[in-house]
Amino acid sequence: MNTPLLEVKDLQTYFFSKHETVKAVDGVSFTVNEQETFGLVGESGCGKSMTCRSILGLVKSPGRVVGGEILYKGDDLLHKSKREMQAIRGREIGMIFQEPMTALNPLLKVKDQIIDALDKSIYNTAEKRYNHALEMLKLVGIPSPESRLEEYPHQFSGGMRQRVMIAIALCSGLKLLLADEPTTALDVTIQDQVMKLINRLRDQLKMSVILITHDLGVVAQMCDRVAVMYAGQIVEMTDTRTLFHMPRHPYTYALMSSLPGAAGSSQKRLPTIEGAPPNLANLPEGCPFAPRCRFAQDICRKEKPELLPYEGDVAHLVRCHIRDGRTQFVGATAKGKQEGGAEQ
Amino acid sequence: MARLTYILKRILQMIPVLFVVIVLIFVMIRLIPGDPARLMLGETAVEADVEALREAMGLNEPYTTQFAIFFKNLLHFDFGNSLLYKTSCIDLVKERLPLTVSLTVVATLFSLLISIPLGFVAGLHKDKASDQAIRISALAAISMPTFWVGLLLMIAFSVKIRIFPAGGWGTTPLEHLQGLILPGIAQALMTAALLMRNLRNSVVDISRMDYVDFAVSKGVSTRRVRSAYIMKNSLISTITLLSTRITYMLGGSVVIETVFSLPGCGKLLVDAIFARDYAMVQCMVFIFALIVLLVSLITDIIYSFIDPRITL
Amino acid sequence: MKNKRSRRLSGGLKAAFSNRSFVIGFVITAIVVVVALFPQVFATHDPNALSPTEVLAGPSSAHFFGTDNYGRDVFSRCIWATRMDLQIGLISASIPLVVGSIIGLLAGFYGGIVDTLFMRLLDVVMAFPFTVLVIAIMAILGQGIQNMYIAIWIIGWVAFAKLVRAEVLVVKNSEYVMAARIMGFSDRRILLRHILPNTISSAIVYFTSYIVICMLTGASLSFLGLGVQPPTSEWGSLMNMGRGYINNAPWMTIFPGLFLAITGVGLSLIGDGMTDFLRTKGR
Repeated sequence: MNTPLLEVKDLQTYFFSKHETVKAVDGVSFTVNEQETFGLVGESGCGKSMTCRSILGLVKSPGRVVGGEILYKGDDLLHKSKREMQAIRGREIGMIFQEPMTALNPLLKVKDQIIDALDKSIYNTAEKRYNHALEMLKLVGIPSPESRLEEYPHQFSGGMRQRVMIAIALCSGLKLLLADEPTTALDVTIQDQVMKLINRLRDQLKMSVILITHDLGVVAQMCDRVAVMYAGQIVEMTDTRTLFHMPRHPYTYALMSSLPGAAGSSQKRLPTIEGAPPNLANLPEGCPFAPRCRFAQDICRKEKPELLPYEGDVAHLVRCHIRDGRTQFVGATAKGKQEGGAEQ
Repeated sequence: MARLTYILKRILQMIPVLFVVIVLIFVMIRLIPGDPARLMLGETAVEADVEALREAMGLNEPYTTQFAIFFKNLLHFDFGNSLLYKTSCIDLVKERLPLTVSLTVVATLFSLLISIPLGFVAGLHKDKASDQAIRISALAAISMPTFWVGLLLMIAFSVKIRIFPAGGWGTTPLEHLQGLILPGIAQALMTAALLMRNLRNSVVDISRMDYVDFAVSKGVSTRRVRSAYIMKNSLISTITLLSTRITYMLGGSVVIETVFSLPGCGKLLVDAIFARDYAMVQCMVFIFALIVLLVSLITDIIYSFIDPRITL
Repeated sequence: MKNKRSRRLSGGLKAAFSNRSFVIGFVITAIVVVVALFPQVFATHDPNALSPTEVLAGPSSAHFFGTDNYGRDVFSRCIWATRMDLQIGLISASIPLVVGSIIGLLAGFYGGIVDTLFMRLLDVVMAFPFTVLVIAIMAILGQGIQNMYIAIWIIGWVAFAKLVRAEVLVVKNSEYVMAARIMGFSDRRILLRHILPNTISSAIVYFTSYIVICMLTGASLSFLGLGVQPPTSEWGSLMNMGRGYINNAPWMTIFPGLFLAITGVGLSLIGDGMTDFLRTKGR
């Protein structure tokens, strides 16, 4: 095993207000290897975006990273100065956002937004900068890049805007791309194109990707390894294949069955997981998923489960008290799901 | 070329508004209860004089004819003679307009000089001590009457410490400028406070936008993020407010010119109202409306330059 | 239903009173209102008592804010003027609040010709500087406080209508209004029960700052001699008198303005507090 590109250890990002503390990220640990796509999956508000923002130092007041380590190539990013972080952002680690319309400055030409992200000491003439900007638009497959460079974001379609954002994020040669729901705001056909583009660029530029999504279909298509997050914690982490074939956490299983056409799902309707995501400021005493879990037992409501290897497999971690006995809960899930469907 | 068409289009859109403004100004004088000619000349005037004035004002003609004459004259900026000054209204306005315009310009400059740095600082340091202090001063400034601020400045800097004239604007350009400083500051204060609050709030809102985070995430320097991403976008909403405030300050000249005894258009209007000099009032109202429309046209043109989303 | 509404109201009040700006503003405004209601309690002298021996005397323990050119006590005159100024603010601002909100509601809800007419009217009103338009209307109607009210009413409703119209346009297409429509509720019921409660808050916030604007405008007009006429005490007209004595009796000018500014700060703080509160509630 070679040293991982990124190693997040026990990351804690909290939001503070007068009355309460919200643990948006509560002890998250994972690693991302070179040239790997790592998926972070979960419902909105589960802390997956905040994990990414913590890596880049983009957490804003009243939020703060209160603990843990973020080791990038062995160096802790949390101990870097502002200037050092600035040199890492966009050059080593970059990020693309969910909504390409709001992530591009409406008042600047695409050309200028690419050039803003370039290292002026390397691209030291206007011509070099222009040529590189042109090169980037070509790389992400934007037709007639010469004229497009002079245009403003509102003149692009949704998919093209996402390509522009990718071009901007990648223009200084990233090692690690954080992609925060990059296709959620796009049409299905465009989604697929953008995913393929990210895959191609990952191989071409030899970088790693952390892909945040709530869509397991996207995970199946893109990721090598996956972490499923719930209420600020990782509840299950393994390689994509194992996750899809042997999901061990009830929450993962519930997500799976909400996939159309997936094993155990009804073809007719899209079941959703019953209940609402928990209030992060006021978590239940035991397992945060227990109130929505079909298999919750007394212990689940009393004790918080640990993230432990499943049957000794260190590559498959599960945070559940009743993680063994798959048949038991798989069958029960199917049954429970039907009941849930009838109630709706 | 596209911009020229856009400007022309905006001017064309203003024509109906201008027409209604003209109709209102025409109707205005006819709404006065009683006989305008009699009112203008006073109770003691001889009937023959009143009749002569009525004839001169065209009040004996049917309304349509009156309006046709009024409209035709207006196209030549001819509003007749001022009752008070016995000279052509438009000549008086021409003479006094530079003062009012310079006063508004000075006030605008002052308010921008105060509001942009402070609003930006407050917005970037949301809820910190500097933000609180700036917001409290803005609140106080918004609640103070302009003419009172003018009088206080006058007490401080013309009566106690004699560095600025207590009124008037002298004869040389330097004296003009000196005469405009205190009224300019007085005028600027409330506008500065309003602009500052607006800018502060938009800086707070814009700082939360994804494109700011994206800019940071791509390694853009803090300085560049602030200038080209936060500042530029924040100023967009501030420009709209500025244009309405310039209009407001133009109107405020009525009060502040009286305080500082400045012989400008505002003073002219007030004097005209006291003297029942209706021709003068009509002329002034028209000129003010014209300037307002011009300001909004210029605002639109500025927008077309800085905001690419405006369809030309 | 009634119970629910009163609970919502009490919840709103509770939230408002936990806002610091609102509380400070409320206290200042309450004091001003009490002064306006019972000036005789606070005034140290008869505001109209002439005292030829004490003409233009500076502030002292006998006369907190000094005396004017007739030897009248400036402090007492300011106290008695409070009622007039508050009245100006309230009377000039309430009619526009009501009329403007109704017109904005109708223009936004029905759209079409009503809305088009309103928008054109807005363009015309916006073509004049506020003060110039007020003064021009007073030129037609004549001087005096009644005509000042009318002049402010004629212009003031436009701002409220514009504000409410914009809010209605947002709410009109919201799901709950759609739902109410599908359920076949009458326009009247939808407007009063569903749209009005959700659009009026911004108009009410603007109302507090509009009272300040009206008070300042009223004081300016009285200062020019167009509004409140001399025998009546009003802060603007007091300052107009003081202006002539600015060299030797600046207190005649300083203190009435201070009263006006403090009242303005109180009302602005209430407005600010409400804005904060509504903003956090919206999020």
